Amino acid sequence: MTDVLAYSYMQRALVAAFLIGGVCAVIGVYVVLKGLSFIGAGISHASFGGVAIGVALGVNPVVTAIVFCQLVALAIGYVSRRGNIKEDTAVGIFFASTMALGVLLVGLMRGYQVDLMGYLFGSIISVTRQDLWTMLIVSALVLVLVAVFYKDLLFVVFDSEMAHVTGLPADRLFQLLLSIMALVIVASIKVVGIVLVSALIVIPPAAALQLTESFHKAMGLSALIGVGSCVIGLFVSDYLGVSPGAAIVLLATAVFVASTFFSPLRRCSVG
Amino acid sequence: MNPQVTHIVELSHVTVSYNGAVVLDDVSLTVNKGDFIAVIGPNGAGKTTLLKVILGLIKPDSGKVLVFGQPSQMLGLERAKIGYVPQIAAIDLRFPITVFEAVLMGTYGQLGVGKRPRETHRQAALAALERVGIGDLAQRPIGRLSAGQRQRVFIARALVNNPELLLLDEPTTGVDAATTTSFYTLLRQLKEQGMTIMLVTHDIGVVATYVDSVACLNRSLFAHCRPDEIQCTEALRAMYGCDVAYLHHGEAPHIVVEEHK
Repeated sequence: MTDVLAYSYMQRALVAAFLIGGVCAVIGVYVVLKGLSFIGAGISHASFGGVAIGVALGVNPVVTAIVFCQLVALAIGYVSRRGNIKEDTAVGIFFASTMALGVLLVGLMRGYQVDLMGYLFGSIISVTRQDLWTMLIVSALVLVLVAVFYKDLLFVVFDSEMAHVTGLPADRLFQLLLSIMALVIVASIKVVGIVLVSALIVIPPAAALQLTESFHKAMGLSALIGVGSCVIGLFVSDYLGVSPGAAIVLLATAVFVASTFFSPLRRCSVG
Repeated sequence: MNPQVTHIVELSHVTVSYNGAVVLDDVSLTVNKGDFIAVIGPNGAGKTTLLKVILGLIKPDSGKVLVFGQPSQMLGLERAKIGYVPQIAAIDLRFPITVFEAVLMGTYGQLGVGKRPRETHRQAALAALERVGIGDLAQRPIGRLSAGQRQRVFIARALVNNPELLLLDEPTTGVDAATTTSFYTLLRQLKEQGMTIMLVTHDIGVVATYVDSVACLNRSLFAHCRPDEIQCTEALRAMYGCDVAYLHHGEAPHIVVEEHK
C-alpha cells in the first residue's frame, strides 16, 4: 500500500480525499439537521450546467461552475423565502433544467472531447495541482466561515424563526449556508462526481448523528468518518481496481449502516 | 427607548390575509406596560398570526403595529426586550443540543453574528433555567424531556435576556394540570416583577383566574376586558362553562363552542 504513494497522482488524490472528505462532512452536519439534502443534490446537478458553460466559453469550468451554483443557491434561497412555490418543486425544476442545459451545451460542442464520465462520477486519480489549490482554498474558506458563524448557523438550523426574533439576520445566514454548500459541492466534483457528491455531505453526518447527542461531537465524528471513508476508499479502489468515487460512497454507507446498529440512541426506532 | 412609552404594543386597524383569505380583520389593540393579557379564541382565529405580526415575522396588509414605539418591521435593539415562546410543534426534538445550549441561544441575537457567548451569557442561561425550576436539567439533551419540562426550556430561553415583554403561544398545550398551575403562578410572579405578558390560548378556563384582561379574537377582536367582566358564574366555571359564558358575552361567535368539543 505504501508503494502506491510513490506516485505523485496518488499523493494528490490522497490530499484531495482528505480535504474534501473533511469539509463536506463538517458543513454536512448543518445540511442534514436542516433537511437540505435534496437542495444539495439539486445544486450538485446544477453544477453540470456550470461546467458546460465554462467549456463552451473556453474558461476554467470550475470558475463558471462556482458562479453558476452560487446563482442557483441564491435562487433556491429566494424561492424558499417567498414560499409561493414549494421548495422541493423549485429544486426539482432547477435540478433537471440546469442539467439539461449542460447536456445541450455539450451536444453543441461537436468534436470537443469533454470528460463527461469524469464530471459525473469523479476522477480523483486525475486531480491536478491546480485542482488541489482550488480545494485547499475552498476548504480553508469554508472552515473559517464555519468557525466564525458556528453558533449563528446552529441557531438558524435549529429554529430559524426564533433566531430572527432574537435579532439574528436569519435569512442571510440561511443564504450563507446554501452558498457554503454550493462552494463545497463544486470543489468536490473532481473527487466523487456530480452524481455522488451529495453522498459525502449527507452520509458521514447522518452516521455521526446516530452516535452522539452533542452537536460539536457530531461535527468532529462526521469529519472523522468523512476523511476516513475518502482516504480508505481511495486505497481500496486502487487495490481492487474499481471506481474511487463509488468505493468511497459505498464505504461511507457501510459506516452509516453500522452506526445504526451500534447507535446507543436507537434514533431509527424513535422515528 | 422613550421613557414615556407606556404603550408596549400598539396595533391599529391591522389586517392580514394569506392567499386571499382574511386571517386578521381590522384588529386594534393596545397593551400597556405591566399588563398581563390573554388572547383567546378558537383554532384558526388568527391568534398565532397576531403574535407574529407583533414580532415582525408577518407584515400586515394594512394597519400600523408599534412595539416599544417602533414599527414591528423595523425592530432592532428592541428585540432584546422581547421574549417569545413559540408553539412546541415547530421544534425538531432529536436535535443534538442540551437544555443549556438551547437556552443560551436566546442570547445570540443580542450578542451579534460571529461573537462567542461569554461567562455572563452562560450565567444568564443558568439563571433563567433556575428561574423556571429546571436548573438540574441543564446538561440533558432536549429530546429527553417531558412536555412540561420542554416548555420550561423554551420559557427559560425567552427569559434569558430579562425581557420587558413576554409573548407566549399556547404555552400549556400538552402540559399536565399541576404543571399548568405552577406555570401560571410563575407568569404571575413575572408580572409582579414588572414584566408585560401577552399569551394566546384557546383554554380560557384556567387563564381567566390569572390574567388582568382577556381579548376575544376570531379574525376580528370581539372584546377586550377584565376576565370578571365576562359573565361567568362559579358554577359554570366549574363545569368548564366559560365557553358558555363566552357565548352569553354577546359578540363572540358560537363557533367557539363547536371548536372546543
